[in-house]
Amino acid sequence: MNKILLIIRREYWTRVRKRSFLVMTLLGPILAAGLYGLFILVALSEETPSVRIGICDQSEIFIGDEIPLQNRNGKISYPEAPKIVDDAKDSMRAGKYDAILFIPRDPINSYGGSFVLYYVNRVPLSVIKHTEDLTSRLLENYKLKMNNISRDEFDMVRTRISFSQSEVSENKNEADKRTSHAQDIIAFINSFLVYILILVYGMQVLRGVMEEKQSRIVEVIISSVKPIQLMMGKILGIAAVGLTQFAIWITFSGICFVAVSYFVLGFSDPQQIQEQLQSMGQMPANDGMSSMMNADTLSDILNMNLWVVLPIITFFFLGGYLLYSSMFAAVGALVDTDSDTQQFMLPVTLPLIFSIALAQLALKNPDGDLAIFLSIFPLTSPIVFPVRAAFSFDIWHLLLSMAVLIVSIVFTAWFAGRIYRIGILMYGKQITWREVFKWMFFKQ
Amino acid sequence: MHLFRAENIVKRFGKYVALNDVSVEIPRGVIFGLLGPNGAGKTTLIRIMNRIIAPDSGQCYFNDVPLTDAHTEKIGYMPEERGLYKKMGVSEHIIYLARLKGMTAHDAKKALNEWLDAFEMQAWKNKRVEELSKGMQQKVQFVATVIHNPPFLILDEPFSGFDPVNADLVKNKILDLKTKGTTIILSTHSMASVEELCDDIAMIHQGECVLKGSVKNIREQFKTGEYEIMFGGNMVTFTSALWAGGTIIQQHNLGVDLWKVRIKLSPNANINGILSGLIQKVEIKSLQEYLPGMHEIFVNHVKGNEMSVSAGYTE
Repeated sequence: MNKILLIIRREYWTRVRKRSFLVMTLLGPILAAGLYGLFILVALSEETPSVRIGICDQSEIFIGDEIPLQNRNGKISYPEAPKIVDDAKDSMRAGKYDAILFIPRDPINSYGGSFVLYYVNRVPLSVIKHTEDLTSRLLENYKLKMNNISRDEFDMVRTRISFSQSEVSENKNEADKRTSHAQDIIAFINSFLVYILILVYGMQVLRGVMEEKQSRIVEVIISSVKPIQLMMGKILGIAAVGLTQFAIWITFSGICFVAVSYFVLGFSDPQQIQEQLQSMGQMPANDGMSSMMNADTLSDILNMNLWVVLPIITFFFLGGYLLYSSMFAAVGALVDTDSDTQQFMLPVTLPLIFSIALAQLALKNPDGDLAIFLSIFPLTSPIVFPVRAAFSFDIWHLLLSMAVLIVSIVFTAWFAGRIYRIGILMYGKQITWREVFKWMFFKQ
Repeated sequence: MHLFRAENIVKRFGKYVALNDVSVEIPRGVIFGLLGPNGAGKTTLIRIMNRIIAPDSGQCYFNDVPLTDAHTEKIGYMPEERGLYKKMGVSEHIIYLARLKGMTAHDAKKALNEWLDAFEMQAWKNKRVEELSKGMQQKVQFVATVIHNPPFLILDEPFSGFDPVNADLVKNKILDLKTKGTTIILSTHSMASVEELCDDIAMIHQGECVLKGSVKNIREQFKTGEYEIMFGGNMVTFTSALWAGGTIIQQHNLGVDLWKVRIKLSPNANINGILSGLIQKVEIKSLQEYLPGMHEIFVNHVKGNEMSVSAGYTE
């Protein structure tokens, strides 16, 4: 029994000490934090372009006492332009303005339609949005003044409704959940993370087995331990490497996340970050961004219950890895040279690739029959269940899926072990699928 | 009496019979040669002895007890195809293999130091395996095989890949281990080392054990009534004096009127009769019964068996 521990320890230490492990482990979170930082920076930099918008005001409501020549952070300025549109356009062509805002003689009656923005080069969406807001506000002020209504009174009356969505759980005792794009993103990240981890570590098992077979060390080892011990020792040792990397990623990502937030936003308290992100989400400037990726979404991600999602993806990563890696081990034992790996690799990688494709379908309808089936079927569940983990799910689906996966792992390991112990001693012979089936089901 | 016995071992791979009812007995404390041409089934037999594969039928005994997994710690095995983890350090690697054979980390380190001294490898102990020359890697492999001090050693072609100096070093270590009581199986194609080192042999050919016994007895058994005679005198005189007593198989002129010949006695002739005839004509310097070498026995056996097999097909 101690011997399998020796094997696990060797597999673990030789990998963890490698430079590539260190690089990958540190680079992963830095890359993630960098993306996050970039994302925030982009969100904040929506207002940065320096733009001059000439006001061609034929109503004379805006220019004069009322025109504040407002700008945002000094980047957008609203100088007065010639009243004749063609003259104004000429000045713009001469480079005096970036755009001309034409305000009609009677802006109240001709309504918004006659406001025109002329430009030579496209003006950033956020600038247009800001100018629209500003113009609307000025026109509002004018109307209020005409009707003798104070701003305070108006603000009290003015109403703007924005729905927040909430999913009601079937169980009365459970709290309702807010649904948002954040869940879609989390779901996708979950399944993709598990997929990548299974593939990366499964391939490590494959390469490890091939290395032992090609270097012929395997015969020395299995004169001391049973082949199944060597196989399981390798699989578990690499699993420990994967968990180590995963744990470091999660911890280090957390640290980087806070650090980047601190440097970019100037806050260190997660609560503050969240508030800031939420306020950014309400800022009109953010409408320029894709609705999937706004700051609101980010704050929702922070709201997710990590203590539910993390254990589930950890379990399915581990389970999926154990299931697939024993198949990878069998494949590694079957092949002599790198070149004939392909014919045996395909049946193992195909279900993995299908799983990530089917996970997209499950994402569209996480409570549908297909998603439920895929989240329980052992070949797809490691990648599809993490999708559902981001949404609400029946607890018995989770338990059933876990049970099915565990039973499948035992079966697969048993069959893989039978292929493995014969395969690793076979050299210089093209092995056929027929033979492999014979090894699986008949005594050798 | 016997440290290891394999009884009536049968192993098939599909329709191919790799071993057909093979029995070998290995006495305690001997060097036992396992001979046979390529593909004869030696490696299969060795793997069964190591419990790497299981026989279809038959049974192995270690110290008269049926062989179990627990016995693998008492066996040291060096396969013909050598292999080490290329990226591992020398010490680390040897200790790992020693611990898989059941040694404690402490004992393994101690034994490692002794072996590194014996093989003058202390300077190399922290290098990675891939940095070593092939000969060096062979030494590492040898040390890893014997470090747990097993009572039973199985060495498949232990001298291949060594230069003559290191081959001698390994040979002396093997003889050392023998005097300390280790029983050793030597699977080799080098008949010179069989004659030099082995006490007993078994020869496997086409999955069957075709010859076994002590090297001395086997050479005795296959002698063909040949003698080597060195004499001073004239070759023509010698031939006429020999007359019908025997035929000359080989002759070497060693100098002026000095010859060495190998003769095969004719049926019914005896060496004393021939000698009394010769002694009157030439000056006999030496006379020695010629025993066939293992090489000759090996080649004759393999060729003889093939001939009988092909004869069987034509019938």
